[in-house]
Amino acid sequence: MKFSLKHIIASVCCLGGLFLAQQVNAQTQVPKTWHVEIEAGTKIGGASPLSLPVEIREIKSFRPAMPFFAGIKANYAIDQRWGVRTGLVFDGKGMKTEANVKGYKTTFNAAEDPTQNVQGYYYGDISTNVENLYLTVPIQATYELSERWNVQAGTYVSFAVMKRFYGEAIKGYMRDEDPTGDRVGIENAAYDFRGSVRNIDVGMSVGGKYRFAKRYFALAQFDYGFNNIMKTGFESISFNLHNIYMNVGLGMRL
Amino acid sequence: MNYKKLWLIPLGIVLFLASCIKDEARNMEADITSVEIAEELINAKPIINNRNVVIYIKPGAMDITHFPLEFSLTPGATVSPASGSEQDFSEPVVYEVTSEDGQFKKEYSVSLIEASVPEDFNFELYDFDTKKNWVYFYEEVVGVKQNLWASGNAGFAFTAGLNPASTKYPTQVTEDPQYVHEGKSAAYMETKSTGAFGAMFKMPIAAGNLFVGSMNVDNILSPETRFGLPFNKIPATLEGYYRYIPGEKIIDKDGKVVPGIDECDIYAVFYDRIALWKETWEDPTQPDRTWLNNDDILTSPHIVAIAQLAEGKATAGSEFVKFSIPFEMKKQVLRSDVDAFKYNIAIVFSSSKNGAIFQGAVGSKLIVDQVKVTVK
Repeated sequence: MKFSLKHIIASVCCLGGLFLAQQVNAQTQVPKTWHVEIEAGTKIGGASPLSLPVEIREIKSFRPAMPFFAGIKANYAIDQRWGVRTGLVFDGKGMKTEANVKGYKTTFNAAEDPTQNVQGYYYGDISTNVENLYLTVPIQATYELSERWNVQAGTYVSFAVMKRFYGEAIKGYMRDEDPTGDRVGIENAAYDFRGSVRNIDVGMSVGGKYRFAKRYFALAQFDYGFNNIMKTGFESISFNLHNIYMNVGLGMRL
Repeated sequence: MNYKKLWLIPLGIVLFLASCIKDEARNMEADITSVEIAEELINAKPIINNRNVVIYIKPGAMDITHFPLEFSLTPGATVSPASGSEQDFSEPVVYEVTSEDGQFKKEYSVSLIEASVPEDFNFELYDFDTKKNWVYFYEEVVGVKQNLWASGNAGFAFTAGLNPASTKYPTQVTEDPQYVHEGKSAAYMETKSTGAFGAMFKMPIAAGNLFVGSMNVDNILSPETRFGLPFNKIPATLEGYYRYIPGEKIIDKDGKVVPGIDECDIYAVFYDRIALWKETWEDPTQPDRTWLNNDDILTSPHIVAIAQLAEGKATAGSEFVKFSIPFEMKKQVLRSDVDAFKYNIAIVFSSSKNGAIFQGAVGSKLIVDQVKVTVK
């Protein structure tokens, strides 16, 4: 068994849950007031299937691409504990992976012209690069756990401002159209699916922040995209890919 | 204590478990991967394509009406009739291979051929690939179908899209009266553009070609032409009729225009297959080779005789031009060796002479008909 990005996310969730659960001191905020925060940081995660499909035999390498976020958020305190917040976050969601696949249904295309596409089942090594930039609007409920701890949960809508999804079949072979089709060896054949990345990604977030100084805090937030990041009707990848990211960063109350 | 956040723990565990690499799925492929047949029974290594297997056997070496052919399959796949069961190979035997997962089936036509490559080729017998619609010519020798003509179509098919017309391919059959010399049809070759996909790999054109032998596309970037099949006569001349209409401008592998006018190529090579086989026994890249390839088709030391069209320039008007090219003998041959099927013949046509290095003029057309190898 190989460790994938989701193991890391999962581990962070476990630890985060334990850590958060220990903080119980009562604390209050001033009801019916606004404050604005800015925050920035890095993230780890990827465009990942919810469970690794059977076609993927081995993840040979993984690293995040454009792992950053920066945003501004307006918080409104409803009462002493509860609040809501929204804002605007600019974030990159990307990854670079290399995997060994078997019977992976896909399309290779060199140009926009769909009649030039090569469709079939691929056996061999494949690299995938995802580099998407989003403008994200979160809407979250917030809860003051203690003087230092605040937790949040809610949904978000992300609008893609830059979309990239490309890669290469590194070494392997393709069965033309179906697994009994002609077997054609492939080396370093590029594919590009940028046109099939959805413009909008909707998801949910849960997170917490820890105030370590009067105006400064550390934060962690887990984002999970509800929809496949690829458009409906896109068949080149036989499973859905979700944006799943763990964010960590620092923030400042203005 | 406030334990509300503990729900993150089960979430984390679920994600962790879900991300394990799953057990391997059952195989979807259904291939005959190799044929096990004693070398003393065969004249050339078995030709295994995606839907047929052709084995040139030594005449009289076995009773082909009761022969238990053994072959290997994709792991887990099954076949009916069984490998190793006695079959009557006086006609091609159809085997149906079923993939391990049971979802995919593929029929193979398996021929054992005792005969030599014939001497006359009229391009009247052809069929189309059931899925990709490209033409393949065959010959019938004493009632036995020989899939002896190969072309680059199988490789081109890969970039031809879904349900391509047969006229999209570089190698076609034509029934157009202006392109037929005699009978109903002729072989039509036209240099085609391979589009963006081909250009990306510096293979911007695909010359129409037709040759006696087989095509191996284990790697699309270096499709391997395997020239030649067993021939048990001593060739004297290569004859036939052709028309050639060069395309407008020659481009090279980088897509740059090259000055000059495109030329076609027509030739036949008679070579000592047994000597080639022995010499390549320990060849690291292609051991046990019983064919000539792009690199040595005109230069191999095992070539015994060559007949090549001197100039592949445009033919005048709209008439077919007859060619009759004597074989130039480079070595002595023993009649007894020829009778014992020790030699192969390759006959090659190409609509662009430098098609093998992906240089040629898109639109160059070569039509050939009524080809014949006269023998001594």
